Amino acid sequence: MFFPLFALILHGSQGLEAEADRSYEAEEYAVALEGYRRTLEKAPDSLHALRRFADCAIRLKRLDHADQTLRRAAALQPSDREVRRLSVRALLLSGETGQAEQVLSGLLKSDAEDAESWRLYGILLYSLGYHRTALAAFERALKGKPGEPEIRAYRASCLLQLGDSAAAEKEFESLAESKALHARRYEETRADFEIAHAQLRYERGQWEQALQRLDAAAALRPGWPAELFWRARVLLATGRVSEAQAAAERAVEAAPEAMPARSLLIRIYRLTGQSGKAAALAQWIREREQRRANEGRP
Amino acid sequence: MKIAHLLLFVSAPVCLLAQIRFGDATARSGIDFTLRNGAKGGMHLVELMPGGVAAFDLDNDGCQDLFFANGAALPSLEKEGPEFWNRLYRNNCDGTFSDITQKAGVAGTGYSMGVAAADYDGDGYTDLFIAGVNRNQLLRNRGDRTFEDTTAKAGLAGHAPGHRKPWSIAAGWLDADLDGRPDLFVSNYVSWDPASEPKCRNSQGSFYCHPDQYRGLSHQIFRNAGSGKFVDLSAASGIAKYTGKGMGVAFADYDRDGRPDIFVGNDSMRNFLFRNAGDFRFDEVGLDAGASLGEHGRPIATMGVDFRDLDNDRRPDVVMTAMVNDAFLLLRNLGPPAFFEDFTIRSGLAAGTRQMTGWGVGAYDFDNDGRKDLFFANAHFPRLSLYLGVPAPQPAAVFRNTGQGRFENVSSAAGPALQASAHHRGAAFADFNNDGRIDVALSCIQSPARLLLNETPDAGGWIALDLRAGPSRREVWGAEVTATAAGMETQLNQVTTSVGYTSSSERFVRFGLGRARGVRVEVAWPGGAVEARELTTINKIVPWHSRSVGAKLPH
Repeated sequence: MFFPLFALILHGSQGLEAEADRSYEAEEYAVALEGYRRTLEKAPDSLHALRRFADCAIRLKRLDHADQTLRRAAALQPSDREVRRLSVRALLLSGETGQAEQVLSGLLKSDAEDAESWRLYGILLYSLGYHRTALAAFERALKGKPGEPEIRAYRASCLLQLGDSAAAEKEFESLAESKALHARRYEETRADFEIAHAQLRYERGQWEQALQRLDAAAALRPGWPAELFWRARVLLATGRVSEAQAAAERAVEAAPEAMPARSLLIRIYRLTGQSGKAAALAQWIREREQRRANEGRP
Repeated sequence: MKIAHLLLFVSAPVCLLAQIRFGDATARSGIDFTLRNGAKGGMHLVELMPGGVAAFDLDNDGCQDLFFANGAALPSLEKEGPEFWNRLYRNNCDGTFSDITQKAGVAGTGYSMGVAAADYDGDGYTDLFIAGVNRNQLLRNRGDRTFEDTTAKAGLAGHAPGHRKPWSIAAGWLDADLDGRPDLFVSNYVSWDPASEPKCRNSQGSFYCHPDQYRGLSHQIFRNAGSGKFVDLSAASGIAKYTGKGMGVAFADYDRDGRPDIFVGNDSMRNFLFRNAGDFRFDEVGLDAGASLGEHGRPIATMGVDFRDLDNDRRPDVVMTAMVNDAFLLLRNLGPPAFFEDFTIRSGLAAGTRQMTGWGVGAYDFDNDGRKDLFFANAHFPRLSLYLGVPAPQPAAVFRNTGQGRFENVSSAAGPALQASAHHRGAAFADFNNDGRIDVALSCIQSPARLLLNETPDAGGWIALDLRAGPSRREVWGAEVTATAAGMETQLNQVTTSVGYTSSSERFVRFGLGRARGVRVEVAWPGGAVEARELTTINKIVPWHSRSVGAKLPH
């Protein structure tokens, strides 16, 4: 990782911060993170650098870095809304949805028009499977961030889950045509939306279009078990059984503890007369479920 | 081919498109039962789960009566007042019901959950088994509209020596060994004790813990040994080998080998399909047969189940209710080698039910057009309204079978009764007013039970079979019937009362006949004997006493 030395020599902390900002705007988050780290060595109380450092750390999933920095930022400026929203993002990433909801509740109580908080609240609700309220939150977010592609994609995913596949399709198609989600900052979530779009196509029996979406997801996350599982489902539905088997077997290799691909493989093996392999997989799931059922309080 | 048979096949086409409708007849029926779960804010898991409804003819007067299982006080788990009594309503055959609970001696004890009806002793009167948290009860119908508690005498207290009584949710009767006597299957849930229950929270405060927080239980099967006695064969049969978190249970012969198999819905873990291997042995084949998981491969929170031929291909399929986002799974039985395939998406149920949380379910032909439709008793969990964006009480739903394996939600046009919300739970299906259209009785937590009468205009013709055999004309369990009428697909149905969630429905084998004027019915009796009849008079209940298998059955 290279961070321009001349920035340090010529401009001190301000120059470092400006250079880091340029990297941040260019979506070079690892470079920017290093820039903000050096900035904070020179100017430890720079709220802007603290925020941006935490932002980059969250994007890079370095949650321990983000957490420390957010604590420092909160100590400097406890009411800073951006720091609180960054905290929510970190909490969501670590699965602390209860705490995230508490912070968001405070943010939205004090400013009901805070679009970024509505976006985060939508993501929180979506992650918990509450699609109706997530949709409402995303629509509030879009009022303050009209056309923001990631929010639109989440909205489309909610519509699909709520059974309005026509509206979901319209939104997904519009996003796909405009390539609005192709910015680097959306890479992480775009693959999820490609799967959601593939699900829509699958549910409509549009197999080739489903495979196109899965190709797009695979390009973003090669070897992703979720994509391989969906690919196997689509291929099986189209009667391409051997290809479905190959995809499902790759999915099992990629995520040996996950049940969905194993369950699908049982069916494929049974359909193709590979009863020994099917029985072995069934036994694996049976034992796993038996262990799970025997956990919990006696 | 006989002339009558020929006539059945030259009748006019029977295409029928009736709008299914239900009317709420609760007020005029006199049924005033409220299901009390004992909730006082303690968020005890048991509060979510009651309670079952049974439709059965207690006095053989030709009218279906109603029994409601009720909860108890918490944390005592005892029926500390009449508000917790189980209730029995006698159908007066005039649209009204009378509460005969006290006189009948069925108020019950403990925290009741599910109910299953059958004449276990072959005396001609239907008895009741009540599954509960801390007690199970077998109530023998004396034939004079009173019952006696025969639990201990029958050996059905429900727990092995030295073990705490398992929390039973539901039960069902099946003739597992084809000996003519109904055996008993009990679906057990989780290991739970109010004194050591874990405390769980969401951001709104205390909340019910997820089933993952509790250890599961194995299910139980009891062989009816005659003379009012049962033998616990849970271990010897292979049933107890598997730990589940049992909810609804239903029976059908999925592999067409002549023996009834058992489907058990489990909560938040894979479902079980126990294949009846004969000699009272069962193999759990859910995963092998594609019945344990939906095509998404993840366990769902299965609640109620029904196990019948939904697509008229003469193989029993499975439909089940579940929690919001799960969708209600529909598994079509395509026969060997892979048997069940998930048709939830292709049937229209995925999009139609993904936002529902369902409990009771029944696959009945509500418009008598020759295709079984689906009824769902819905309600979300309490305290989730803020997140779900809709209230916890929800309307029931009815989906019309449009053929080709597709179902359409027709609830919005099914009348005001289908728009009314409640914390629906159990659902029992029967023709309470003997008009040939299947009605529904629903239990609702903390609100009055509901009697919904089927008012579908222009419903088709129908036939219902009351199958009996043996010298004492005892009930026959698991017998399968096919019905073939002119211009219609051949239908398959079977004798069972185990339908949906914690509930028990009428025992008749029913068929909708559209505009057909006659029907050929073929009964496959347990043990393999087959009898056929041409029925030229329809729209009635046909008593059918087996000539060929009667001698084999016990008195």
